[in-house]
Amino acid sequence: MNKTLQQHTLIFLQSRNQLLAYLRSLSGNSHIAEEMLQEIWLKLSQAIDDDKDIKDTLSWCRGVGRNLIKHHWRDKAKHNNMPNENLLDLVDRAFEENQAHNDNFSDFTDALRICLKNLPHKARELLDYKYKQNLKFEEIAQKLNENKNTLMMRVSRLRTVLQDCIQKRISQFS
Amino acid sequence: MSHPLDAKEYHELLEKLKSGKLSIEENNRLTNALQSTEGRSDFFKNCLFTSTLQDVLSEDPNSIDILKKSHNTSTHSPIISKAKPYRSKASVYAAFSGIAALLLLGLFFAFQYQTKDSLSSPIGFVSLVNNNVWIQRESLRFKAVKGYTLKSGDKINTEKDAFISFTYIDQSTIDLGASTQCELSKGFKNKRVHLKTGKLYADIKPQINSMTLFSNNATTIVLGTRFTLENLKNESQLKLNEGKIRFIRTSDQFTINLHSGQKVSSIDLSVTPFRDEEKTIEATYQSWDNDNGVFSVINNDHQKMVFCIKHQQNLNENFNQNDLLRTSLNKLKHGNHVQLTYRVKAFLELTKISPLRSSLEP
Repeated sequence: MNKTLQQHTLIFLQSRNQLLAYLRSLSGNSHIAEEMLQEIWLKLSQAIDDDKDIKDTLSWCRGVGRNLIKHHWRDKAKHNNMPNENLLDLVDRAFEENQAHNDNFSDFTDALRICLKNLPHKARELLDYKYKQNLKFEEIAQKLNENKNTLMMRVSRLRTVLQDCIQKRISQFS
Repeated sequence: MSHPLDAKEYHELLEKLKSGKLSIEENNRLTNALQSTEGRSDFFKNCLFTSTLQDVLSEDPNSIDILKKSHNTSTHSPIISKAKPYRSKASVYAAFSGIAALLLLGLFFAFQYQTKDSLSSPIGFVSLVNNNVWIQRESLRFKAVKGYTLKSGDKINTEKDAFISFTYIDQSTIDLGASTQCELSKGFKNKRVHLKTGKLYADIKPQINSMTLFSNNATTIVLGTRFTLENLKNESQLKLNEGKIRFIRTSDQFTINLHSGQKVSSIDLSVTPFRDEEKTIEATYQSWDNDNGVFSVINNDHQKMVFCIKHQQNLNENFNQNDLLRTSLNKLKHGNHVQLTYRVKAFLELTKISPLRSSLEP
């Protein structure tokens, strides 16, 4: 691996969480997002091989990601509506403005791990269905024999509980 | 939130954005919400939180157990709450053919997955290997050789008297000692290693996203440091040479922040001082494999000892020293008496070697 690609790869890996969050927020599917992330790295290594001048690795990768997302949506166009370009620009801007947010990301992840361990069994099960198995609320409602809106509300509350717990844990770490 | 959407509506819109179900009107509402800096910051935090949640839930093997348990005990499960129905022969045949179809489908997906995996990017490469070390990648098992690329999901298994060292893209290295089993992270994620048995030594370059090592009784979180992690009987032990480490006992999630020169055991979490000591012995030189950086000696107790010099990828301070060591070894002949100094890590690493006067005499 040449030195330039190594440097870009390091930035790519350091920003992995942000890139993945970007891809997941627009594709809605964790596995597709992971595949897109690999695709981005392959395109990055190809661009370095072709001596392309990449000044801001993260922006460049997000740009490639945006194109991949568009392709993905076009493939599914029969069923879905594509967000307009204006909305996509704003999503890009949201990630660009906050890309320095990576500072205490490892503390954040550690805290989240601990907070999740302390959740009651049922709450953890619900989060697993939603975020690990990527099920829709309708599907979870069917599985658990509960109302879709109740589940949506419960997930929203759980997110708040976790976020509060993370803040407490992070202050303990520091 | 200052944007004109309440939390529930905002959450609903984000869900629809992900599934491509935003109507034109909803598209405009979300666009308006993202016009303000605060709205964009909320959006970013929301996405990052969800994504991290997905990562953490996917990495935790316990969550699978929880789900399995819930399938066995849940009163919501229609399969369990129903009485056992009568099954005719025809329905049994139908069930068997269904299972066969599922198996075929499974095989098809396994094949597809393997094809995709072969395209996945390497995360590092084998920089040193001695004796038999095996790499298991999906259904394939092959012997590790120097320079071989490693991918996420690879399982590495060192036999007795074997060791391996591998280097990540950012030059962080991990050494595995003899009789060690470990698995590299699944998926395209940052460094994550599961140490199942044996011992590893890690030299991790500064990371922005922490590296996580799972051992039998503890989770270790590092940002950039040198340390040794060992799985003993009912115990995980960690010795920290440099930097800081967070050590979390698996059983109760008790967390300890460890500093350089300290060691900790998962049994009582007692932190005791630890010195990265060198040992010096006299021995008879046997053979030297320059390509692998491995050489052997016979010590005064007539036991064979295998040492190694790790190849340095960067021009750092160790480079010249290791170059000197290699030159010294190239001058030695079989049967020469030597004095050598080494450190005990995942395997024995040479720091100094010199021939004894007796070996220079005719």
